[in-house]
Amino acid sequence: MSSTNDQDILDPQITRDRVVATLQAMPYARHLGIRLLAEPADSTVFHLPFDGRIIGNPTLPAIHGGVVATFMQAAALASTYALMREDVPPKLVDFSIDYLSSAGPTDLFAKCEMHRVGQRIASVGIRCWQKNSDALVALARAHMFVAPSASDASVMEAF
Amino acid sequence: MTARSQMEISIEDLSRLFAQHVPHGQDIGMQMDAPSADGRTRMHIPPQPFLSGDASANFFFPGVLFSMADAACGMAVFRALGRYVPIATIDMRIDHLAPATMDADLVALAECYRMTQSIAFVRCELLCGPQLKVVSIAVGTFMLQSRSAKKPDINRQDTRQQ
Repeated sequence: MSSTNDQDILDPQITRDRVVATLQAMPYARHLGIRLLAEPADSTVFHLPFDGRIIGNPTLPAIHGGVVATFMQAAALASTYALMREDVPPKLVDFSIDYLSSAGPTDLFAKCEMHRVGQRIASVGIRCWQKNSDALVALARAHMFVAPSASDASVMEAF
Repeated sequence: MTARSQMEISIEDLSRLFAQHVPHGQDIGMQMDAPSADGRTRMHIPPQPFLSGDASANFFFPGVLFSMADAACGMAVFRALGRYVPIATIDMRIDHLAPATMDADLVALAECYRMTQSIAFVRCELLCGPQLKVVSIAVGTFMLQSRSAKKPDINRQDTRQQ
């Protein structure tokens, strides 16, 4: 039972519900207000409503690059977790981001592409944009560890 | 490099710059420290439950580490330049060696290890826990905006400006 097969059989609504639940379970993602876009209902587009406190450069003004990265990481983590059959939260192993333009003081959107979901590692691509989905603000790639590991509470208790 | 260290932007100026002008830094509690003994730019974030990535608030959310790495690297560029210029992150990569526990301040140590006329190369270590263990390493590049590169009078001793 590979996770890749799970991905194929998951109903879009179940995926959406699991993504929402995952975002709610991450306090910092909740603090920023990261959510799922209501439309289109059959896809998972992430949404970060603009707020003055996420500004990194008040002169331009521009959203902090760290917030853009955080938003994309949360999207990748939630998208990956939604595909997992086991209740093991994915862990970010590495994250690499290219900033393509500065992010103005408006909402951010993101969409993930699961490049590969293996038994232990998932490779996820994330695109982030603002008003126009063709004009990307940033492009990122994340690797997630998706198997149980020593830092999981459940695994710790077993030792 | 005596000339450069004499021109170096003061840590007080940087702290003021940072504290007054970056709402996101204020939101997550990022603070500038005096440089480390080996001269690296140092910042820290005290743990707060809303900065966690797990419901039981044991670990910092990885994005918090990224924000501080980005900010500390930017500050390291200003210190290496000896002045404030508009800069933009081109790219950054972070490796998470271990989860960042919330039992002590999260610390960033950043340095600009190479500077050209338009590009700054930076790296940053993130440390946490009472033992200040290295949990993440970030590497990135910044673009120095052309507007500032056209002002040779500000930094005349730097021949690359001519």
